[in-house]
Amino acid sequence: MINPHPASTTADGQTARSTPGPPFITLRDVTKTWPNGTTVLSQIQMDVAKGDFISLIGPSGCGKSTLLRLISGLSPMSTGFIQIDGMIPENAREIMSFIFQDATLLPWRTVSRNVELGLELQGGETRTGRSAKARELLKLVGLESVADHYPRQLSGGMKMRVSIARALAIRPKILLMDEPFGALDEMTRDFLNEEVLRLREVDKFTTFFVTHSVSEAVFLSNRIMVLKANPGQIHREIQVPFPNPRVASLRSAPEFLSLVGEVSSALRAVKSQK
Amino acid sequence: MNAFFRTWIWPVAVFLAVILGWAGACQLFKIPPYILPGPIAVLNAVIERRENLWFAFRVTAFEAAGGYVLSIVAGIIIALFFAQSAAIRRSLYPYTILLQTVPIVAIAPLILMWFGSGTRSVMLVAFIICLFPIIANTTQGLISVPRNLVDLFIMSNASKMQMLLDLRLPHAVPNLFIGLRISGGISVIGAITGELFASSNAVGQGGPWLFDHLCQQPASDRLPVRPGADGQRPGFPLLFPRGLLRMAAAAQMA
Repeated sequence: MINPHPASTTADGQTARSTPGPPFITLRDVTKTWPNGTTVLSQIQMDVAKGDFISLIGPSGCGKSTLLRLISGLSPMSTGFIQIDGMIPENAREIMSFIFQDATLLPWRTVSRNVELGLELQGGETRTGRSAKARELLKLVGLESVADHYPRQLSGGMKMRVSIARALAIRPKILLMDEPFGALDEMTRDFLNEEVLRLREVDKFTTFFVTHSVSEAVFLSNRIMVLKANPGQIHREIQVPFPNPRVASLRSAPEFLSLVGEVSSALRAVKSQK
Repeated sequence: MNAFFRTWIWPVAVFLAVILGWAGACQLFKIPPYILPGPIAVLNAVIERRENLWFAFRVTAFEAAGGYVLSIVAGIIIALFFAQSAAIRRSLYPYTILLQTVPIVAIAPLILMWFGSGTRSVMLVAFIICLFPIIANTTQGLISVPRNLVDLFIMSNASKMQMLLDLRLPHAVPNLFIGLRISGGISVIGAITGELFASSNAVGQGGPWLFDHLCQQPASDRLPVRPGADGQRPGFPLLFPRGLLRMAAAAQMA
């Protein structure tokens, strides 16, 4: 397997769970109220360790996407506080990448130049250096053959892989994914789920993953937050005990299916509360 | 070859049908040449007057192109300014709409009065008529960038300048091209409108100058324009639409 960033791999990975001290990401009493008075998120508490893969799942309107925007600093919170590796969200953007529901590729740039975008905006890297990095990442997601194509020539799944490659190009410590595979068919989604886990083995980035799919959440995460709506709150946290690396066959294992059942019933409970 | 044939067969067929229909109608309904000359007569007139027409075409093309290019430069700069804030758009956009809705025939005499009736003024008339489509379309493109793309740039700590050059401007290019297409066509109308007023001051040099020139000659059935009853230049209301039509035809043929 190709590793584009050999230096950092083990350092982050091995210290992930064993280091005592302050958690990597902390959310305290995080509340978000819209200008019209609707409270979309209320009193969210969370401690996140390095390397955690956290799925946020819940009915629409529970504020899971809003929570992601608060963590990324794209949207200000009303009260409470968020600390990311000792920084406020706005200052932590250099170590974060956001992957949107649509691939958000720039149609006027080639695939390779799209992957370079983050590096280019940050500056401090020569054009050849950026281009070499982009090629490496495209190789990593298996798309080196389309590096000089334009996004319109790619399928939805390929676009998403380009989007992932772009997000990883800046070597983020935190990956925020807002329903990235929601618009894809199930086979492509399963494949990309496996890709995400494989890529995570490389850099051990901490991940927040918003999804509507229970099996996707169980397959990917080590922690699942089930949110309820009106106001958005964490209803229940479910731990996923399966070890990494996970393989596709896990999806048909009885333990997997029973955990899917547990998350589904938690979701049903949340929905009936409404 | 086959593909080439399939691409061009219909356009060519339609063109021939129009020409034949025109010639046929002139014959069939015995339309006097001073009402509607046939295609051959028009072609003959163009060939006969080619030097005058070519000169007139160049003058008008220069004025139209000058106004067009100016409107592209100014339009993009104004659009960039408009894209900065909704307050700017709310305050200034009505004036650009005013520019668009006031008929160019009402503005043209003023411009010629203010700036004299030279090429520069005619260019200015073309510029004014071209400006709005460029501003409106480019501004729309600049401000309609999807929120997720803006957020993507914010997450990369992009500067305002990067946001503009690497995101908003490239995103606005398709809209800009719509503006360019509209303005490209109407720049000629602007130039000719300007010339009409310029030539009424006997200083204009483009199409209408030629029009005057032709009108002062003895009536001829080869000329697709009818001079006034007494051989004088026809009154303005009569001149205006015909002049436009004639110049459009001349431009096509040249």
